[in-house]
Amino acid sequence: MSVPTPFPANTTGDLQSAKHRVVLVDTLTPDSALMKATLQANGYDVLCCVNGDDVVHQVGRQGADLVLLPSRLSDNRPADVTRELRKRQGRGQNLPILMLVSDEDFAARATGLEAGADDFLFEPVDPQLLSARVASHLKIKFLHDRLAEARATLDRKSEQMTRVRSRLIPEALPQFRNLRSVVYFEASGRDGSGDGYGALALPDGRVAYVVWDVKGSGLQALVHSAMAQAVLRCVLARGLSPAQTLQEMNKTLLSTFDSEELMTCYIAVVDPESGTLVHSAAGHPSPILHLPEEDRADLLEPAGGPPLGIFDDITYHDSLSTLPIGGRLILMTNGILHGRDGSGETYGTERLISLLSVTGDMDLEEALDLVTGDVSSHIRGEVPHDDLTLILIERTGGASGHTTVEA
Amino acid sequence: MTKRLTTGLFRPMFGYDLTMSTATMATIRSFSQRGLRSSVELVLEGNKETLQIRVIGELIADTCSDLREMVMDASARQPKAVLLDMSETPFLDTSGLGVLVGLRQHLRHQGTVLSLVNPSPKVLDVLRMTRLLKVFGLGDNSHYPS
Repeated sequence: MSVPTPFPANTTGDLQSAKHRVVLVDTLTPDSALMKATLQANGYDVLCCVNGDDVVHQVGRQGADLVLLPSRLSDNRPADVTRELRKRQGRGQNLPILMLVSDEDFAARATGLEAGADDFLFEPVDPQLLSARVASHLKIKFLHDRLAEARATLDRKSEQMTRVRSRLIPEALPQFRNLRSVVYFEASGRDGSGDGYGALALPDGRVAYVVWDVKGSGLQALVHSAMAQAVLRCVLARGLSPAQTLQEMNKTLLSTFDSEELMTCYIAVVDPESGTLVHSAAGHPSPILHLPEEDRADLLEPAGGPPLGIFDDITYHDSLSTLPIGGRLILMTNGILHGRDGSGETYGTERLISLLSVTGDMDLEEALDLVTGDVSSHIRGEVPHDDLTLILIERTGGASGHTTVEA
Repeated sequence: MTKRLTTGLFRPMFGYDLTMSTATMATIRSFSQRGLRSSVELVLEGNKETLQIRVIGELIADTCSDLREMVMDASARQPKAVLLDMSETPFLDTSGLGVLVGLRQHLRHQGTVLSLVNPSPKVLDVLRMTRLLKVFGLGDNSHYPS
């Protein structure tokens, strides 16, 4: 972000105790000597330069906390020196530059300020005013520097969050035999995000697809998402069903969520060989089953229960269904269904279903593009209130037959 | 985030008007940065036993903290029931839902029932989808969505 230039002499630390370096051009006049003596008496480290070039050179080499620039320099115009200082000083944009002007020199005041000087003092300089003015500008610089540091820290943290998020929310899902999936994710205008998803192979060869939505945004939502992901992986790998997994997650989240926090989640476990689908939802939008061959798209309504992290006495239940070869299972989060246009109208399940039903002869990517394009055009001009997640899963092979296998 | 236009009205008025039967006790209006579309107005009515709050406007992240404050304050008087009239609530997001759930739990601890009354179609849709209808006294969850 900033150009690697020498740092100003005193970038950190306590305003009171630090020894600030003030740069002064020694014009060999009594006035010059008085200023030097005054500044030294105030405890500043005074660096005397011979001309404008020397000021630029010394500030670049040694750093400075404040520069006092006379309106007349032997070698060049003060305005040029000011510009040069601003240019060379990367983060020293905050370096206070005070012009010394004579009472009648109106032009020098204006050009000095225009060139980037912060303030001016009248010559002959009054020692008391000089002390007060210098102290005041050093204070402003101190605050500016603190602000710049805080901002750099925030930028670093925001970068870290983006990195964590990209790990939690992969750009693509892992692929498995007989199953293909594509995913679309768009973060809301808010910092951080509440949506998450994942797919993993279970020890018995089946594949679990999970999508969730944690209330809130920012770091808190990220932490909860990470926690959810960890619990999901552990519990599913132990061979528990979607409903049992939700129940375990509910217990874990209850102990950490505050009274207003909640998480919705949908888990589907698909057998890539038989197409048997076991699924359960905790306060989460139901998936859509699209059967291109039969030209049908319907809402599947799995058993389940309320969102996770609210109630301690909840039992979730599984539902059994079948994903035939060529069939598609569509998972989503609330952000898709409740994406709103300018007038507040939501996108809605019906529009999603009717659009999906015309995607029968498209491949997964085309279908995903069509739907997400339609959602985007619906909420056009509006920052999404909520993250948008849409996942399309197609069973591409395995044993045919639509018989539902008993669990 | 939200700007209160009529703050200060609520607290002093509440103590006096509680004894009156069904007078409007307080009105709070909030406007979020998104502008008028995301504003909410809360009208508190009722008596010592039953308090009713009309939620006029969207109950979303930017606007839901006022409802929390109003219900928390009102709950100090230990009413038997708090009814939220959501017929004029065009939208409810996850944050709004979180506040409703949190308030319900809070009130339950002191024996007060929180119920939602006449939810608008979209509020109903959200509650149905999240399977929270029954929790807020709105019948069963057997069908979703129509």
